[in-house]
Amino acid sequence: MTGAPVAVDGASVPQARPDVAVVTLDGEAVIHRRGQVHVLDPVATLVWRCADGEASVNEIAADLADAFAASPESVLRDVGHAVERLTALGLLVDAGADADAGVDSDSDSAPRDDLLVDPPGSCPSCVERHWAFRRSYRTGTRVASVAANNERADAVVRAVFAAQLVDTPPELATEPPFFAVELHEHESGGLQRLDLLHRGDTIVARSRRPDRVVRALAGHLASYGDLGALGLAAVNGLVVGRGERAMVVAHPADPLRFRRALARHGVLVADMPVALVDPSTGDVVVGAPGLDVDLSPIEALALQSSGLEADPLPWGRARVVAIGVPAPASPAAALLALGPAEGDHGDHDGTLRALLALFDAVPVTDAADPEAISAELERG
Amino acid sequence: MDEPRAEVRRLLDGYPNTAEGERAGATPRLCLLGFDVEMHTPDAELTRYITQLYAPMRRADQAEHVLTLSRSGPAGAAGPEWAVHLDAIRVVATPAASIAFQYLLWEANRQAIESSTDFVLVHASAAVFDGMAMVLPGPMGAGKSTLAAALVREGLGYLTDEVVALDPATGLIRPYPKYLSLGGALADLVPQPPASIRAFLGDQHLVAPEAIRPGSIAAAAPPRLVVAPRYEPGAGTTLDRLTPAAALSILAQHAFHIERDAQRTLDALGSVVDHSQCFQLVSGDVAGATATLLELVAEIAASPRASASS
Repeated sequence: MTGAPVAVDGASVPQARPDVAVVTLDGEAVIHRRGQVHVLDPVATLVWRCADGEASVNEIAADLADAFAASPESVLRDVGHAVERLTALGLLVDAGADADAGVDSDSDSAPRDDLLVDPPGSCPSCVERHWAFRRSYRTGTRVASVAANNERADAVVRAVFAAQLVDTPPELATEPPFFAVELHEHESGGLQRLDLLHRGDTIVARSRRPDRVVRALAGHLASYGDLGALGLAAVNGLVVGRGERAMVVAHPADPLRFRRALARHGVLVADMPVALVDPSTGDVVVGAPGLDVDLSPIEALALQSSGLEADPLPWGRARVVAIGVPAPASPAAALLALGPAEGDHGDHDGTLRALLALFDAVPVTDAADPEAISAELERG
Repeated sequence: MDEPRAEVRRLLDGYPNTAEGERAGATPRLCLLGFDVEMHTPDAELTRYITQLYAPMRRADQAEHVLTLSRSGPAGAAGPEWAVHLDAIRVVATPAASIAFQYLLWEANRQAIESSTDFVLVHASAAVFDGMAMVLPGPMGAGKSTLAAALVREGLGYLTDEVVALDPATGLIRPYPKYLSLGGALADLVPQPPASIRAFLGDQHLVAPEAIRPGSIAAAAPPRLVVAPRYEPGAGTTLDRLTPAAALSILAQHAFHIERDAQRTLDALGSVVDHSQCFQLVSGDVAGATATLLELVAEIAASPRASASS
């Protein structure tokens, strides 16, 4: 034990936190609290056992001095040090202090369910990267943080989603952004840098047209909304179509090349991460259902850059005429190709129901390459 | 099983097929602690190999869950080539067969841990001597699997190389006799896998316990010895007694899901320590560590106080 002065008030009344688990073996307590395991030496264990929320530090010290026929000053110092250490470890609180400031002060630090955040440690690079701008937007009952790499990107996103903008909850301020938009200046001549949409550590949309990246953000945000209330379910596939006919196909390895090849066949691709399926009609909804979105800033961007890439599939409803997965195609193959992914924040049962409904309504084909997709859309 | 999961289960029965449309295979039903699963792969040889790795946990009838290792199509086609799904939920998609296979085994183990709420689970290997269990808790790289394999080769019974499942009601450690995953030190124990599946294995050295020593799977046994191993390259072998509190602290630090019911877990592990002799083993040499442990178990078995039923 140290001879250093004790910072603990002798009148304080130490008490174990309610969320600890304890076992004592051979006079040494082993205590678990919130993932941490502590071993107390015999003196600290004795103090721990006396910390019943009734006796003050002074009273505990006096009792122990009597019991061990020891010097009251020396015992008080030892008890004070033990209480100080156990309090610093978060194992004891002062029962006499304001309960709000003590027992439960750190019991609600877990992220709220309605905030879209990734598990701790899931993306070290997201933690390290600094974004110039960050704002929070509501989607359904949830709130997501959206970062932007420059003032222009931030202004566009803010204008498009102004109706969804909310104050950033303190719990989100310390988390990496859920989405990040990276738009680059368009220069005449030379190769145009790709504009990007990040979701965690994954680039989920890339295009030479910034309007397509912002549309993709809209689609992504909508996919985390309350789809069930809208009668929709998110299927993990790409929507491609021509006119009012659409297909849900497996995500390609190289989306840019796939889009270009489809465009040559007159097939357009939705800027959506998922197919939002209405199982009651067999339609897909392209756009941002559930969000109040101002399309004019997106259309202005499109005017500036429409020559750089094909147009996306327009927003609205389209009838699904087939599902396309790589051969050999079967409902089981489609289920695995288009089904939910672990940790995707989605309603997995809703997605599975929507897929099963689609399997009943339309054929599962091996039309997975652009030519076959074009032919299938023609047939459908 | 509720709808739509039942329909999903029906669709997955028989998937995946080979490119020629032939059924490649499913393992039998496997009971991995509380996780009831069969594994499907597109390669019949790989399916046979997995079945051997989990042979002691085979059961009859249809399993509740399916873990599927699938190829999404011919090389160069759309999408990643390999994927692992638990039922219809994607666990991983990757171009590398070896990564997908690693995930398949990892997910099976993870689900075994997640599904086994009746047991107190500890990240530890365990072997049986004289009807008593030796528990070796430790982090990855401590030498748990290597020591378990070496002890099994020397005649001890095999309980697990990774997850000790303690039944608080009986005080017994239940076997979870999955394959052992070994480092290079005991690579000679690992039979050469069929050439056609080596791409799936990557640098993993997996061995079924029966391949180390036939008849090595032990029945449930009461813990009577706790040894926390630590591998230190180049170190000589030392064995030091741990205080009961220190041993309990080590077990608790390696308990899975302790936060689900921390007091129940600590009580159960405290009881293990109460009935056990507890040591810290530091070694850089498998043979030396194994010899030390064999001497220790011989001493304990010979001691008049030692008894599986005490």
